[in-house]
Parts: sequence; C-alpha cells; structure tokens
Amino acid sequence: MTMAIDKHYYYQQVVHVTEQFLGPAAERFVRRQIEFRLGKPPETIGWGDIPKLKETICVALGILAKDQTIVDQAMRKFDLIVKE
Amino acid sequence: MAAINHTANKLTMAAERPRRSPFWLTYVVLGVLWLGTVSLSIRVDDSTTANRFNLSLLQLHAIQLALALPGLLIFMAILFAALSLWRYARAIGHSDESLGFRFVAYSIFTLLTGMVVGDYLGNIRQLAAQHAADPQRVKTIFVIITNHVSVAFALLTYGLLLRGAWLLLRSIGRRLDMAKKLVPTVAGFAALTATYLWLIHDNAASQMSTDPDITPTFGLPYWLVILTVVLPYVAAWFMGVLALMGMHQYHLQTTGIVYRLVFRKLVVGMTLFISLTILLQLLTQLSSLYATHNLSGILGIVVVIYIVLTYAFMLIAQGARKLHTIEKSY
Repeated sequence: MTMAIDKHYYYQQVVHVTEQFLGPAAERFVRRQIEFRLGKPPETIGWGDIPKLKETICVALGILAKDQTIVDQAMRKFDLIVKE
Repeated sequence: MAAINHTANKLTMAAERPRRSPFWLTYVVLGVLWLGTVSLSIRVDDSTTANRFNLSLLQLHAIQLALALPGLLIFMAILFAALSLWRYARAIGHSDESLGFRFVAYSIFTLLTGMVVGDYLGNIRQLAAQHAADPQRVKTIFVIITNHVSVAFALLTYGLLLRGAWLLLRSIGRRLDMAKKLVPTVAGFAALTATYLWLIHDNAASQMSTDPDITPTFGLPYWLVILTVVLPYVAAWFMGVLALMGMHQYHLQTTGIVYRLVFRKLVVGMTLFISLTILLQLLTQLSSLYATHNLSGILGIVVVIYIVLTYAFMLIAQGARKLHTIEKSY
C-alpha cells in the first residue's frame, strides 16, 4: 500500500509541476510522455523516472515556448522533486 | 537554447509529421461554392454600375474578380481556422475544455455559412431583379430576406461563441466576471445603438429609394427595422463582446505559462474576428450611406477589412494548431 501511495505521489508531483506550464493540457501531456517514453502505467512512476521525464518535458516546453527562461524554471522545479 | 535544439530531435512531434488532411473535401466544396457565387455575379448585367463609375463592362468584371479572389482567400482562412479548432477539440475529446473549443469552432463554421449564403442571396437578387417586371420591388424583397438571414446568422454565430467562452470558463471553475466592465460595456452599447438608430433614421434610402441604382437598405418601416433588425443585431453584438470578454478572462485565469503563451494568438485572432465582423455587419447594414462615395474609397475599406480579417483567422488557426501540437507531442 505504501509503495502504491509513493508511486502515485511522484505522478501527482510531475503533473503539478507541468500544470504550471501547460495548464489544462498538462495531465494529458504527462500521461502520454510516461506511456510512450517509459512504457508503464502513468500512476506507477517512481523517483528514478523523474530525470528522464524532466528531460523530455523540458525539451517539449522549449520547443513550444521558445524561451530558455521557462525551460530553466521547469528544470529547477523538477530538480526539487528529485531532491525531496 | 542550444540544449533544447540538441535534444529536440529526440522528441517526436506528431503534429509536425507530413500527413494527408482528411478535411480536404471541405476545401473543395467551399471552392466550388465560391465559383458558384462568382459565376452568378458575372452573369448579372452591370451596365448601369459600369456607367456610374465610368468603367467598361470588362473593367467592371475584372474588378469583380479582383474583389472575389480575396473573398476566396478569406473563406479558406475561415474554414482553416474552424477546422483547426475543431480538430484540436476532437483531440482533447474527454477533457473539460473540449466542448468549449467545439462551440467556438461551430461559431466560426456558422459565420462562414452565413457569409456564403449572403453572397448567394446578393447575387441572386441582382439576377432576379434583372429579369423582373418591377426590379425595385424584387430587390426590396431580397433585401428584407438578406437582412433577416444575416441577423439570424449573427445571432447564431455570437450565441455559439458565447456558449463556447462560457464552457471554457466553466472548465477552469470560473464564471464570466462582468463586475468591473459592466458599466463601460453597457454605456458603449447604448452609444452604439443610438448612433446606429440615428444613421438609419438619417438614411433617405432606408425604406425605399427613388433612384433605381440604389437599393433600399431595409425596405421596411422604421419601427419594424428597429424591432427585427437593429435590436437583434445589437443583441448579437453584445453576445459577441461578452464572448470576447470570456475568452480574455479564460486566457488570463487559466493556469500554465506556456499554455497561455500559445492561447494568446488565439485570443488576438478572436478579438480581431469579433470586432471586424461587427464593423463589417454595421457597414453592410449602412451600405447605401456610402453608395454615393467614390469607388476607390469603398474598395479601400473592403480591402483593409479583408486583409485584417484573413490575418485574424490565420492567427486563430495558428493558435489552435499550436495547442494541437501540445496534444500530439510524445
């Protein structure tokens, strides 16, 4: 049960950070990234999956926003999840 | 930025992949409809208009074609914007905001349908009057029909747009906040209505015209024009302005820095679309006021509105396609 809660926690954290950038599109975006990049059910991601997600999500944000400040801001927020 | 470019290749953006659009048939249908209106307009005997502007029939047809081509461009731009929005709404099918975007797309489809129907009615009017025993009477009947059809389409377009904006706001748990803007909006609309009424009252050709070259603007008594044209138009424009406020509120209050950046193009396009269509409808309603002005003045106004309106719909399409890119990236 504890494991399940932990894994759900990381998914929620990733969605929470992404929402600050992609708003209503964030959850759909994160789910697709996890399913396609990590090949696992979204809610089951763990601490070790965050760096890979951070890379792909930040690249996508860079392409969409064309603003390095926004990318840096997102990277810092994802680093905080890893450090927690 | 170099880091982004370096790793960008790793990210697959499905929206950027070349693929065949399943909507090509709608563009073909629209092109055929446009050809239909052009062929109707060329069949009309325009010798009186040519004489009025000191042009040969050939020159007049050349001007008609030159005016019709931007018409095709704007039709295509509107269809492109509507399809882009609709495609995006379909891509986010199970989300809260999907229905809002669908209604915005429906409103743009309705605007396009109204424009095509208006074009046909205008050209059929000319042809019917040409073959009628009493051309002025036929023109007047068509003017009454055209005005009421336009009013109906305006009400439907802005009504759907308002519903779309309302649904978008509901998707983020908000309602249209009018508190600060209510007084200036109502005051603005009161001024607009008064000006509109004054212009109609001052228009000698409002109910009938003694000049066979000038078609009456409304062909109805003043009170009936107010009841069946002016008030519904003002109501439609009011809904359009409310929809615009709703879209701006959604843009400001939705979460996501990047989402808002992408959505901004759509909002700018919608602002231009709503304000220019209102201006265009107002100008069309009062067309006989500038019928006596010189040709270059009229052409100038029409061309500027065409260009900016086309730009507005391209912005809407770009915004919708960029939002779609978020949904198709993995």
